[in-house]
Amino acid sequence: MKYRLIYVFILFNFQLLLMIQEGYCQKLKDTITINGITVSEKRLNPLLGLKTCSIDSLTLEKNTGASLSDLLSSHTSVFMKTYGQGGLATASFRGTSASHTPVLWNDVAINSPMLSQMDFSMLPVFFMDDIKLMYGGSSLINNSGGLGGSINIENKSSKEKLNISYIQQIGSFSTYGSYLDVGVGSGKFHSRSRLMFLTSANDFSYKNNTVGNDEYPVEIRKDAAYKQYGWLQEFYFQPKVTDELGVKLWFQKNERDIPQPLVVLPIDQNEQQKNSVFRGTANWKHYQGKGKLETSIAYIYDFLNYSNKIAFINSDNRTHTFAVNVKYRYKFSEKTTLNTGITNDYYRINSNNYMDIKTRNQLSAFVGATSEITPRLAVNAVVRKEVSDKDFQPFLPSLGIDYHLLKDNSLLLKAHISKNYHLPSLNDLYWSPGGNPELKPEDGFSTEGGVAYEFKKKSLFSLITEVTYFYTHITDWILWQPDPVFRYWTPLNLKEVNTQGLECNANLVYQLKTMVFRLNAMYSYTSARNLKPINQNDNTTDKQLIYTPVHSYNASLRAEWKTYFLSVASHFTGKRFTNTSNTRYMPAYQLTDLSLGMTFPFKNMNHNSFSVQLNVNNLFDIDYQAIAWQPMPGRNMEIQLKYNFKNK
Amino acid sequence: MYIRFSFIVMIFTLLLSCSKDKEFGEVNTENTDYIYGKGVFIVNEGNYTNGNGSVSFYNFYTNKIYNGIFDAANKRPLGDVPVSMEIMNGLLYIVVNNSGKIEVVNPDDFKWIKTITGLSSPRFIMPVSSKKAYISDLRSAYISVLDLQTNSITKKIYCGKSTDRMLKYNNRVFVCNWSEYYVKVPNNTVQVIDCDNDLLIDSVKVGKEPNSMVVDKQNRLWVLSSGGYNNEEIPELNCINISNLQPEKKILFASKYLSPASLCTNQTKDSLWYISNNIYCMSINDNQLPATPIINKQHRMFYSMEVSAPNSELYVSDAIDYNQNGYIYRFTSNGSVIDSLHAGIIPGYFCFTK
Repeated sequence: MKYRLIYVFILFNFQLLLMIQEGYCQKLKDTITINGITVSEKRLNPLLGLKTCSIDSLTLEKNTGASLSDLLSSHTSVFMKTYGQGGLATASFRGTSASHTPVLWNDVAINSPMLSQMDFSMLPVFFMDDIKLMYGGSSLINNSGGLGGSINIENKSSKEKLNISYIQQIGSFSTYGSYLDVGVGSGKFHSRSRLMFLTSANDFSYKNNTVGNDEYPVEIRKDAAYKQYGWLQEFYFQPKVTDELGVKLWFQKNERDIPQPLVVLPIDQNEQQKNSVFRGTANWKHYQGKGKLETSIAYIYDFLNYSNKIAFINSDNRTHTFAVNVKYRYKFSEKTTLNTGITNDYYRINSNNYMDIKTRNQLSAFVGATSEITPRLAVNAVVRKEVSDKDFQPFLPSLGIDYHLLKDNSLLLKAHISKNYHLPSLNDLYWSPGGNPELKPEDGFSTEGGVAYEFKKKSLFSLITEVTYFYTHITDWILWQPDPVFRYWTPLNLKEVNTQGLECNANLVYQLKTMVFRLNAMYSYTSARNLKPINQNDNTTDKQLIYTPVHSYNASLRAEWKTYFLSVASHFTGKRFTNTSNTRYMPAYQLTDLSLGMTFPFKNMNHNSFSVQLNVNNLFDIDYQAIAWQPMPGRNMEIQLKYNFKNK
Repeated sequence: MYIRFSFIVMIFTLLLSCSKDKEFGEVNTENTDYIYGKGVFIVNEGNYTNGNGSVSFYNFYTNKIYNGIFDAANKRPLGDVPVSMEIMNGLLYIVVNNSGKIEVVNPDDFKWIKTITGLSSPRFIMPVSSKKAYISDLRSAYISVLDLQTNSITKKIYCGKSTDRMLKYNNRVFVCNWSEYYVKVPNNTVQVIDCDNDLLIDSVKVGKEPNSMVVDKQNRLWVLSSGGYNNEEIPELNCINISNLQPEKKILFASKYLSPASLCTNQTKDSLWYISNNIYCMSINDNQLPATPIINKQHRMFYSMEVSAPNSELYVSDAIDYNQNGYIYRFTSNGSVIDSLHAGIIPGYFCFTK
């Protein structure tokens, strides 16, 4: 009866939503809401005073067959600038640029050093066991350069003796994905192999709003196919309780056709991109007394071929990265911990687009301490120093404070202040023609403060909410501009930018007999303003940066009963200006996805299970474009079948 | 508890309720209350592949500039990189380069009439009679012949080179071979077409990358060449006898890095103006280039220039940073500023009403 009541109530609300129109929407843009992420908060965390988020395991599992760009755009406040399914997707935090968002895979920076960006559609969620978002200054604990924040991806061994799972995914637009995961292990040794293959014709239909008089004709997207193959191999060895060794090898091949924007005269298969990547890392963790030593070495080889027929471009870009990382943590007492570390990254690039082979060496060292001064007050301070090639970069200090306002630790106040910087990408320095070797690094100063509140009533009801205000000031922001003498574009340290805003999220779990409801919601307000005019005719001062929504929110509601689940996730992307004088914009859009899943355990075989998941994306068949004149698919579906065998 | 939970669910459904918005393409908020009359159209190129080019109109009577007029009248974008336009038989022809098309609109309300397709990379359109017009093309070795009665392409003239600016003199059409990028042959010629028979008949050598031409009062053809996109050669100003195609003057610029463009002349056809960072003016009788500009660029990035027919005012665009909306400056012929107007992104071409 009670379920029915809830059901009726939900239904009623859906009816209500049909009646309530835009008036409410306008108000709601100012409403504080939340997100699909759990707020991690541990004592003596070196991330004191900062905001970090981990994607919860349910969300990860639901999105196994997705790319990281899909996952982040629908479940976090990170803004994904995406050219469509399988197309280029870049991420930015808090109004900064895509190059200000480092991605770390098991502590190794994997952004392309040429662009200093990452293409998130080439990162399959299937290869990730833990995704953590480090907002603002929190990224400084791992590396510099994350003026907006960083994204950390971790892999973990499966502890079972044998674990096999196979997922087959069939979706609209001839999309097929196959995913195999095999974990084998004994007490000391574990191996995990993951293989993936994904292909899509991606030939969706869309309304072409660049032609036609009264009605837009429906057309089929051409030249948007993509293919990805990948293999992630991990070995874990624990010879003693105090030592852990791990080796992780990631091979991936990506191929895509790059479709033209609708305004451009189409030419069949004009632009293509082929990419092969190998990423390998070996690490050793050693515990001794109060100390913990972590060391790792890594090598990355990235090959990218881009071709454009009509522009006569066929360019090969090869990047080698060698990285060494040593970290040491020492616990003086239960209350005070010392963290220190040193990293060296060496990049070597062989590209058609550079005059010769270019290299960069980046040496970085940090020391920090975290201390619980009183049971309610904890402080963390870190200083980082870097040397890039022969240039000593300024000190990067950061200071964070956590204060529990109430005795029961339910209300936490946080504050953080830090300095950061971002080196110019190697394209900025050496692209031929135009690269400017005289560029200075971009400098950032950030501060943030927040309140987190946690409410728990037995296991029936729990609520975690957090509100964070952030402010970042970036000077010497690099901007490409036409050179007045040579007519090609060249980068200069031109801009000065202020970004500030508010992030609110709430995470609620409610149990009703055998049913569990989870609601995650998030809202963010981002003001990212250009402060410095390049000359007196410049009309871009105090204007919002392009493709940076002021308002965005997302919410997901998930109901679980026995082995069934139903989830509805919706995300809203506010209006984005498309030119720097803010006279043109892309309208806001809201997309809703529905997921329904069930797991069937095999009756006589306890360790076997079979599950089915149906995803309906863009449930309301909304016409939208994330980027001007790049069409996006309407309602589309996907079925995922999973077989799992476990032997513990 | 139910109340609390219901409240949460209600908020959630409200969030969902912000659904269908009809608009899903880029919106241009610039003023749109277009009034036609005597004035000048400005073609704003916009950024390559961004589809943010537009047409502005500066009305001499209302003394106002109307921006984004195609988008406003037709509820769709003009296309990618509009580069030029022409008024022929009372209709406007807007050449949209990277969309491979020409949009034909009614000047009174700017409403769409027809889209001419079948072109690969059109650059300029020019009437050669009341019945036909020529369309030059960057990425093809042909000039297309447009029938102005049916507005369809009836013929192609083989040039073997990429074609650009055109100029008609009697029954001859002079065509700049501006680019070597797509059609890989030397781009240092001006070709001559017999427009009665639509035949390529001759060619004359000029500097690398000829970008603009005028005819002076002594019936001499002046051709300005930039020296190449990457400043490969010294820019040149060539003066050619239009009847026998014999060179009369060849004036070299001082350095490779001056990138001169937008050669213009006045109503009396006795003076020449051009942009080379600054704006320079010279007499057709000069044998060397002026040492000092008549207009200093200062902070501005002069991109394109045209001289208005009746009063010889200079219309000059400032592309600023090539990303934001640019400016149009009006100068008197001796270089004092009259006015400045806010146009679209990269204002590149002026088309005066007749």
